[in-house]
Amino acid sequence: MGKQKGYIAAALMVCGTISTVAIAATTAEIITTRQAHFKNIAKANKAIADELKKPSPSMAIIRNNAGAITAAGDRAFRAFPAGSGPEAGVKTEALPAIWQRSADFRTLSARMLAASRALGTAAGQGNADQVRAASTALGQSCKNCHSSFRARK
Amino acid sequence: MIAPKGSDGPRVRLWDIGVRVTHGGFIILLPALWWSWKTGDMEWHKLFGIIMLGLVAFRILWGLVGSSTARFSRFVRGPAAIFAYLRGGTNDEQPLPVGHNPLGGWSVIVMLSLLGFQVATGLIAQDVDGLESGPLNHLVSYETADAARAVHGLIFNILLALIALHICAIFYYTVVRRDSLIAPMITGFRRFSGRIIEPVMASPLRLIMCITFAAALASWISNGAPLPQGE
Repeated sequence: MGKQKGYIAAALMVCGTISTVAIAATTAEIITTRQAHFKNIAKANKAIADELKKPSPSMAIIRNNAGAITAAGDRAFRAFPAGSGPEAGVKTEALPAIWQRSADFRTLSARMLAASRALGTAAGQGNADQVRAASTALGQSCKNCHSSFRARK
Repeated sequence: MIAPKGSDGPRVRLWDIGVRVTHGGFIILLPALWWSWKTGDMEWHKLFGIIMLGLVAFRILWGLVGSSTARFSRFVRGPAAIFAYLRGGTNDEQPLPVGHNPLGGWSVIVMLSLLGFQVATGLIAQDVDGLESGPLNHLVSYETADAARAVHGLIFNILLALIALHICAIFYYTVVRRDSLIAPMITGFRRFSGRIIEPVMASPLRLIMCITFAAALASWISNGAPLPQGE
């Protein structure tokens, strides 16, 4: 029995070491992946803006891109573990405020996701004016968060 | 200036209203453009950028059909003329053309080209979030627009260097050569001693036509350069 406990403890220690090593090795990866998610949001934003400049915007394209923003945003907001800020030594514009005022960060992230879902809904209903308003609101929700939590170049 | 300055000579109309207003516009717009970008006020930045587009378009047109001192064909000179100017070898027997000197002429070309490229990249550029974009951003891909933003930043720094050089040259003429270039650029008039070739000013009608064309171009581009829709 004692021997078995010893094995379990040893196994846990090994697991702990491996996971620690894994986290240390992937902080850079987490940051790069996170940035890729945000880049996808920017690309989808442009696709929506391009549509809205057309005389008759495609609601399907806008809805798909709004969906892509929600999905990428959801993944991006989960990719802010402690230690993945500027202290990680990787090039990132994530400010320490994200972890210092994490409640605010979560609130603003949730608002952004709500805004992208609302845009998808508006596109589904097909009213161009509502879509425009929802797109502006989504853009504003991005800016609201960036102004406090992203480094300005 | 090629022709010798002089406080005793006749007062000559050197720079027309088109040249002076365009030049003054650049002086006002460049800091305004920088400030609006710095404070993140992109609506103003785009408006100033469109006005800049109109000014650059007008100045290029004016360089083709405007008053003699505004025309590229009168002040864009080859290397021989530039070296002769730098050596200070002017022949007093010949009546001299007035306006941009051979070196200053190239400064106009480079400055105007940079402003043109700056406007062009601004038209297609977008911010890092794909939220703010120039009026022609929809005509290019996300990657091209991203690259345009980088070039837009680079050209701005080159412009700053050129403006610094420009101000140094004005300072040199004012202090060392006791020749103020600023007053004629404001009033349009300058006194010359010695024989000169009198500049020929373009007609107001021609000015209005160029302004109208440049304004129409700027307005069309600010609306995303829409082509007539075939039904």
